[in-house]
Amino acid sequence: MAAVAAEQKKVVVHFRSTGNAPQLKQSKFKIGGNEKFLKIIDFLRRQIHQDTVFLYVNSAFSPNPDELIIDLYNNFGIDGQLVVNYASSMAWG
Amino acid sequence: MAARAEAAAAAPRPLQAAAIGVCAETGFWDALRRLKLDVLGTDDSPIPITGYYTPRQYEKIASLFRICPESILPPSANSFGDRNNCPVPGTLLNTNNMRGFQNLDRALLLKAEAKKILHDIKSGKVEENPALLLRFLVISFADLKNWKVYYNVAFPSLIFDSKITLLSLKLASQVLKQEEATSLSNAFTEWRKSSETTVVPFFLINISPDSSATIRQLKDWKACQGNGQKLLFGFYDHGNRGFPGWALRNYIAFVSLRWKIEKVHFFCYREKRGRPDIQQSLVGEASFPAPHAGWDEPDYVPEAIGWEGETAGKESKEMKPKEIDLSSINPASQDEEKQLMHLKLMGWRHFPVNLDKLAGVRCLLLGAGTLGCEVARLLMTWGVRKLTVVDDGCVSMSDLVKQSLYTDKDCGVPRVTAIVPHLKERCSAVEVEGIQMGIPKLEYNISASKISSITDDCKRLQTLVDSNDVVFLLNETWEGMWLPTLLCADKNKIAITVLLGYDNYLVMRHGAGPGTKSGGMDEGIAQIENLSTQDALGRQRLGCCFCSDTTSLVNSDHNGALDQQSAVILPGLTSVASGKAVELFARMLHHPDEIHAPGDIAGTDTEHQLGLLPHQMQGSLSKCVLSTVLCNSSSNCIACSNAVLSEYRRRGFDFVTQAITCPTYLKDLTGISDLKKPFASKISASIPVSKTSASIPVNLEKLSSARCLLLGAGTLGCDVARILMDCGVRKLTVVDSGRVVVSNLARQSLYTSDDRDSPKASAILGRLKERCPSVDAKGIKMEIPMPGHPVSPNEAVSVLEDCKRLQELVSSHDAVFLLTDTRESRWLPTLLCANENKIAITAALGYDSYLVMRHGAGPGTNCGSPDVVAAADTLSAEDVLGRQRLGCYFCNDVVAPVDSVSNRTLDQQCTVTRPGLSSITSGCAADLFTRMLHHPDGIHAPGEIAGTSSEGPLGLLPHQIRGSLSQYNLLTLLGYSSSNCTACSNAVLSEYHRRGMDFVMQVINEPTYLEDLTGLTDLMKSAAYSQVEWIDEVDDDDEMDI
Repeated sequence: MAAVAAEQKKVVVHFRSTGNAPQLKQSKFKIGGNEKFLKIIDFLRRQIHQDTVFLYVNSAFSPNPDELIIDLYNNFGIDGQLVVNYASSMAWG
Repeated sequence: MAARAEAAAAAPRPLQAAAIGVCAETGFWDALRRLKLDVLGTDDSPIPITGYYTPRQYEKIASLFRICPESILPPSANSFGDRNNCPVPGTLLNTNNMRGFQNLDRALLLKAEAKKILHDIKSGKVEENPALLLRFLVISFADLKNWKVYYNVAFPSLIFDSKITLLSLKLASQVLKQEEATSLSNAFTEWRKSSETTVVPFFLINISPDSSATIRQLKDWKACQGNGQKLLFGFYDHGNRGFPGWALRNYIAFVSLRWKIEKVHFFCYREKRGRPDIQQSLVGEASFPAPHAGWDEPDYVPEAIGWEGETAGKESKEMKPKEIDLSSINPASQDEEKQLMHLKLMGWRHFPVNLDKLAGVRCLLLGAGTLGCEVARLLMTWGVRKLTVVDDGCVSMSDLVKQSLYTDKDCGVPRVTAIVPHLKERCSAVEVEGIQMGIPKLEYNISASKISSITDDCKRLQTLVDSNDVVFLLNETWEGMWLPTLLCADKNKIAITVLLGYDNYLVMRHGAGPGTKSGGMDEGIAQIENLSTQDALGRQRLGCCFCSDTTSLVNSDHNGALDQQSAVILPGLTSVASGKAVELFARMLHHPDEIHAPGDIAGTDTEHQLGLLPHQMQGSLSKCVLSTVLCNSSSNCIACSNAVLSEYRRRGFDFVTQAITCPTYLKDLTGISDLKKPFASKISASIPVSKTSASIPVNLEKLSSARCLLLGAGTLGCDVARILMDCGVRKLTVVDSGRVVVSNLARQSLYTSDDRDSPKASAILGRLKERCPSVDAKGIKMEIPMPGHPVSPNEAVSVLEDCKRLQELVSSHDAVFLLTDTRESRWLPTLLCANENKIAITAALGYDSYLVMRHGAGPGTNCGSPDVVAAADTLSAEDVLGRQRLGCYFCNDVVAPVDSVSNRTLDQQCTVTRPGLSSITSGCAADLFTRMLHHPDGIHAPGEIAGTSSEGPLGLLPHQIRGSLSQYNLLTLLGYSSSNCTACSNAVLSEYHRRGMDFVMQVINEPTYLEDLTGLTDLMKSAAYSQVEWIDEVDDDDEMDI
């Protein structure tokens, strides 16, 4: 397991809240680069106990759940980490 | 008759007890409503309450157990009753929504209360406070939105494996001797006179051999032992028929468990018009053998019955809740309460709004045009109730579409006269005054005859500024803002300026006036020396709208041209700027320092729950940018610098008149002229708002022929419809299923009190035509079918009809605006738009953030393969132009749309957003649509991000715009279509192609079907499978943080 873990490149994910989305006590995590973005979504949903959250990276791009994290990191990573902003989902009209 | 009663009374049978009737007064529920709204919020934990019990008072009417407004007070303040009100402790459980109310485990709750009673029996507390035997339980759901309450009441009765058997039951007059009855009646009279004993519903009756009767409390039990005495266990009986009241059940249980008495003689005390009624009171005997072992264990949970309407022995069915309508209470103030409810609901989860402060603040609006109408309406939504409006113009035909309050009947009427009734009919509690007056401007070439009237106007304006707390500068000219700015700086009044260019805006608050230095001997010089360079709190003064501008007066030579140019602005810009101005005002009012508050800049953090408080906001609608600027007061300012203020304080309106009439006086006074001389060759205009008109003509033909479908005629729908008409759209169809209620009037810009209870779909038509007679508008009252809301078989036909109708509407329109209240209501329109390649624009609100986005185009088709079964393979991953599809509203979500209404608390059911938010969102949505329509690719236009260099002639065309009022940021985001999307992915669209409305009905009835179909379920499982790695990684991150 340690050998397999060493082969995977781990990406540091830095969560930032936007609007009135609740803050995380711990905002940085590591995740395997071969995981899909869905895992970050699911992880964050359970951290802040909300079903609908909206995530975007670099204040410009909102990835699909099935995109690979390593691809997002290669395209949008800054200073060795992937900054993921999250906001509550808007619904009212 | 007597013989038959005698025979019936003689036979042993199970004890039958009359249930206690409850009178829960409307005042109690109103007190609960206010407690819930003002104090409890989303807290739904049990509340201790007090009920009031009394013996039967009238021969033919059983007494009712009262729950009244005082019941909700804390029990300690409510310990004392009177002869007809024995206080009884109870519990109230009020849920947050109807589903929670229906899902309560009533049997479990009843057992929990019964366990409390058993505990009080075993511990001996009952002997100190016998009313504990009558402990009661109320479960309720106070539907604050509809002013209704649903509730059930229970009096738990302990149930054991042994039964209470009634051995005999007779009228007291048949059992007692004459002397005993007389003595007992006298004893009861004394017992009921004493305030200490009259509130005790359970007692002991001791009759000695000489026929004298004594009434004792339960705690005197030991003293009642003795030879030859008859002992009766007495209690207040609420009933009026031939069997005892419900209270006897727990009383017998208490006597048996606590004092080990298996045969009990009891006395059911009843009254007649305040006097003991021995004739109708009952005496009986009952047996209750000791229960089997185990009931005295600490963890024993007894069985219990006692819900109102529940019948002993029968299986408990679905209890029907009682329902109370609170609308009959105090109708006069109800409207105001309903209109302010959304502000109170903010306090439940977000920031408690200071309603008293908002209602008491006095706002002066200079200008009743486009900005003035919008700002006045939004201030009312925030709870501001004191408004004064100043304007010198009249309503013209071209104003109707732009200015949200005026209608065609107002043409030719002065604005200040027209605006007052329109504000009042939306919110009758508002005190609004209109004053027709021109604001003295810095203009030149004034004739001598005008000077005296100008001086009068100056004095009137000064009086108005003095008597108000906040001044909104909403004039259309730059020069018209000078005098109000000066007066506000002099009097330390809050001043908020809104300036509009063609596509950009400036919203700012002015800084506080200068503080005062002590000392200074010379009178002339002392005027300047006494003014500090800091404000009264010793802080750096923030600037006003003239502080960073040194050349604005040069443009005043072209005053006429300026007036014309400033009126040409993008539709929707007014809404955006007005929303930000009002939110800036509300935020400022909630800052402890108010006018002295320092300015925040976007990107910094604040602990305040309303977010940042910037000094200036500059933004561009077409470039999708927003910046917060901080600017300190300038010593060369022509309006708020110490030189100007000291001169004004010294000379008063002589100074003002000279400044108005002399072109260079202010610049000389403040030193701008001296400052500019060495740099004359480098003068550059720094007007903060650009006044250059757009060089690209708007395609009015395209706009007027576009057919727009608006789903939702609420807060967003009204604004979007009005702004689209301002853009030039003339074909509108509005769909809504709701009716206008009083809380809509202030927030939804088109409705007035005449529209109350009308369907929104028809009410909005009249309002649109009033403003733009040439509009071709239709209103359709229809509910949008939603996934996650299963329908019963008899509803399926009408739901299917609605689905087809919606499909026809989407087909016959060019653009669809999704402006509804829930996520799931946007699913079907999104699917239909993706299927038919229609423009779809979603506008959605959170509490303090908003989203405006356009959905991507539908998928293109791969060539070949005519087989219908292989429909999925023919849908391309790209659009018709071969480009990557942009995402829709659901593309970034991993949860299928489900019922999001039933489980909500009240603040989630109502639209609890900051009042300025909908204006900002509506302006962005209409503007996004306009630019999309002018893009050569239309729906296929690629998404652009702010800051890139690919802007077209009409500005940026982003995919998503997200903004936040608390952090004052504005983001343009790009997201592509997801293959797992529940609304626009190929899997969903091909299934819709294949099965049509059958597919839609299945989605509606089966909540998880969409997740299975799109593969989200499998995707979520694969994510859950590898959760262990997170824990290890978190540990690693701990090391990193060190």
